[in-house]
Amino acid sequence: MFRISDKQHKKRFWLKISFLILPFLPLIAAYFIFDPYMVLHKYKRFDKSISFLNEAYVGWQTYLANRDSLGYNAFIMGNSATMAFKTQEWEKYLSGNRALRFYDNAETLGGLCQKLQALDDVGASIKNLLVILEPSSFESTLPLSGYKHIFPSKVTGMNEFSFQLYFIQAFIYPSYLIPYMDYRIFGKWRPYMKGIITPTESIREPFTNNFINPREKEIAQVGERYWVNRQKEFGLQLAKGKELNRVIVSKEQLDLLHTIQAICKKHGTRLKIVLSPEYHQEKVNHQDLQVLKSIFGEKAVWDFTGVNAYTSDIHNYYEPGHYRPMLGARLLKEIYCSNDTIKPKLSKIITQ
Amino acid sequence: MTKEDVLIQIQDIFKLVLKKVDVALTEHSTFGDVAGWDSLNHMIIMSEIEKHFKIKFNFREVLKLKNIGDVCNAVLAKIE
Amino acid sequence: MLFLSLNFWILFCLCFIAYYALKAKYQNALLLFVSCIFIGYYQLSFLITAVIISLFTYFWAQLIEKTSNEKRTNILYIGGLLLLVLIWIAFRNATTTEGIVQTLFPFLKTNAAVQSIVFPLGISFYTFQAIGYLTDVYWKEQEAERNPVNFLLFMLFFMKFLSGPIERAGDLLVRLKEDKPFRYQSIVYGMKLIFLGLFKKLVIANRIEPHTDLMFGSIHQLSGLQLLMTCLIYPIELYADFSGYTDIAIGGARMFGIQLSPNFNRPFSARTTTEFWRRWHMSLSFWVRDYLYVPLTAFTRGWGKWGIYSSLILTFVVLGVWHGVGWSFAIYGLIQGLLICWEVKFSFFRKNLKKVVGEFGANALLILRTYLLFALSLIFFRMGSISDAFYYLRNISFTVHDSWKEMNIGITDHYCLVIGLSLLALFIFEYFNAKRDLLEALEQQPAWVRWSIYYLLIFALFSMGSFEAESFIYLQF
Repeated sequence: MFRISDKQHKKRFWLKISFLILPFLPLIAAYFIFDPYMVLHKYKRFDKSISFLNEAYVGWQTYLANRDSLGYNAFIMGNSATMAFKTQEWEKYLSGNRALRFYDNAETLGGLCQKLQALDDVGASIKNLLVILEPSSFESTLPLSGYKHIFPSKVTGMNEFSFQLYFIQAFIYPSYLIPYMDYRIFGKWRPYMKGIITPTESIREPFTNNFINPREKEIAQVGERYWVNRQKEFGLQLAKGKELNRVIVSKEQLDLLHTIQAICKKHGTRLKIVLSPEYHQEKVNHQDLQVLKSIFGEKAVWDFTGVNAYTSDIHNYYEPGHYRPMLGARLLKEIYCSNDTIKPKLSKIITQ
Repeated sequence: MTKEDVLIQIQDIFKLVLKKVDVALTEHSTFGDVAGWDSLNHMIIMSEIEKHFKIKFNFREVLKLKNIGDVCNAVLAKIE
Repeated sequence: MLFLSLNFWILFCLCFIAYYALKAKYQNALLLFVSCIFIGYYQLSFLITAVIISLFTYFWAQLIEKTSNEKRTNILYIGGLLLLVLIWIAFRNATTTEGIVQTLFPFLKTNAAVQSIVFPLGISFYTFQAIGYLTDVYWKEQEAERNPVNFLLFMLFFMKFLSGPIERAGDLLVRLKEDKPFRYQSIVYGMKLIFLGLFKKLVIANRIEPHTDLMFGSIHQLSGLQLLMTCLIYPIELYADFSGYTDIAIGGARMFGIQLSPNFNRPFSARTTTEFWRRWHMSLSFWVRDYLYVPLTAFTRGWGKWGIYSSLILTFVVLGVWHGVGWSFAIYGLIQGLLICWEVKFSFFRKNLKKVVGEFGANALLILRTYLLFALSLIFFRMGSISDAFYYLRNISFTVHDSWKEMNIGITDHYCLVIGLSLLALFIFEYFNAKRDLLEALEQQPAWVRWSIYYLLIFALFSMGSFEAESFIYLQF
């Protein structure tokens, strides 16, 4: 009698466990069917995705899937300001190199080093490297975490299940799941989907990973009104070249910078580090600039921060954090056509 | 001296150390049964009991005392 | 393997299925086998160390029990005790130990094994358990265990191996020997406790940890406000992390029909530091009370109040040093001891406070005071260096670098809300749970209520939990 009761209890228990898991199975199934973040299967191109993807992952997979056919040997790395630097524009200065934009949003020093080491580990050829950052990028020695930033499991040593778990979790979160399923079912983009579903057909060029910014189209349509309508978004330029606090202060940061330098030296890389001409005109700390130049060389570090001709013209910008390819092209010309002399200082340092 | 006599005297010592008038002990009383009697003042109480009855417990004996009944028995054993 | 890893849960599920499929007499052996896999998974040397220490304790206790001569028993006990303490100290101070070994045995200089002495996981916990067990046998309060499987399981049980609770032989060994049939209520209760623990760990602790880590790692660049907020939030993180882990440990053990001791009892409702340490990491504080403080006070009972004060300070310094090598840990412990001494000496202050502001007001102020003092003392615990700790304390203020938004220490507004609401829910749950076991009470509710709560909890865990931070703070002990 005790054994029968025991068995019934066990049956009841396992039945309830199944009942508990059941509602989550369709969600997990949907994840596996749709592969919304394009991380389950291998892809050669990522331009057809309806949702915003993990950029670090996309850059890396684009490289791996096409390295043999396209022979990438030049990389635009750094943060989302890399959108201003088109690979085609940069290749004009590279004598036959093939470039790929391999970046992450809000890239950190740690993330940059991780990507370079990954390239080095797989035997990539790194003939040219263009790094686009801002002073605060050097603060964090850790790569960014979370499903939007984590690097593939093979590189980080994370197990595949843990890696996928980040994305499964992000998928079933209501603020993603609802817009995604709404778009999947009805095929119509709604304003509440901003940041989840891409508003236009494609925001990415396949094989180069260049960003196709819909705002460029908007500017072409509305002209000057673009900046008039966005006055609040831009705000006033209050900093006026005020120098930022030092950020490169720890041994860990210096170690990472030296690691980057060592990888570049190993590959004979022609490195250019660009400190972006940020709209609010805050000036990089002179000590940080000195550290960067002492490690990478005077000719490798290009400081466009603070008050200068670029930051004084609002037409160079989509919004304060991102500038347009036309500015990127001008910066490239300045960097690569300067006869390798040290660029004269254009900007003022104003301290209180 | 009987166990009850010892118990009453111990109760008076508790009232003195804990500065309370309403302490009621039984043989089974232990930590938590009396407000204020805890590990912070337990040994002070034991020390006062030793002084009052003019006895001395050794290290092991005093550690073994878990409730008032144990204390009463130990005191009686020492007195005899 | 950590509790938040897939490997662990696969092992747990397989163990659970096999456990209730086996006959009762093989259940402990299965748990021991799984415990060995669990411990050896990190490094085999961790398992070897744990087994050697456990077997030593097992045989040494029997030797102590068998010896009738009191003097010899004392020598055996003190010898055994010293050896356990020395082993623990040796592993704790691995660099110094390496130096000593190389001086004594120069031929071992090139031995890689010597150069890579690693502090074995869980050693602080099971060493204290071993010391407690030996002492109980010596004091004749516990019979020496004669079944090696039961004893090894008592020492190495995987659900409590990493970070406690520190168990007493009189509790856990007894329970291990009891029958453990398939009890539906017990298993379901254990599962609920696991989910509660996961909620605390994933939704609260793991969300806060990366930010406090970043803050503590760069204190010289922080504003006074950031230092203040990090200090204030750290006890919450520590509590959610450790009590979450403990809930998982106790819940998991419950699923095997084994009851472990509680480790936390609403510590932030404590009105004094004395009360706090009866509610925080209870298994450790009760251990040091019973095996260190009480014997010390017995020894110093002729010193009056000074005996109490000196015993308290020494006990808490040991408790501090148990957490880590270095003066900062000793100071962390010393602060606790001094605070309790203060409370013993000046208890009239609290009584007068009640008369001035009423009971509710006094309780609120005392709770706040206890929390703040604990938060400040944790700076020594967390910084690991006295100079950094003093720098930290000197620079706490309301000043900002740029704006008041710095007080979020990098946590986004969204997660500030998630953490805040989760904490509120947790404290409300714990408040009512203290009056009546809510997990058991949930069983009495209609099915739709129960299942709604289950699904909500799982969904909240999955959608709001951070699976990123794979560390558990007390793992380093």
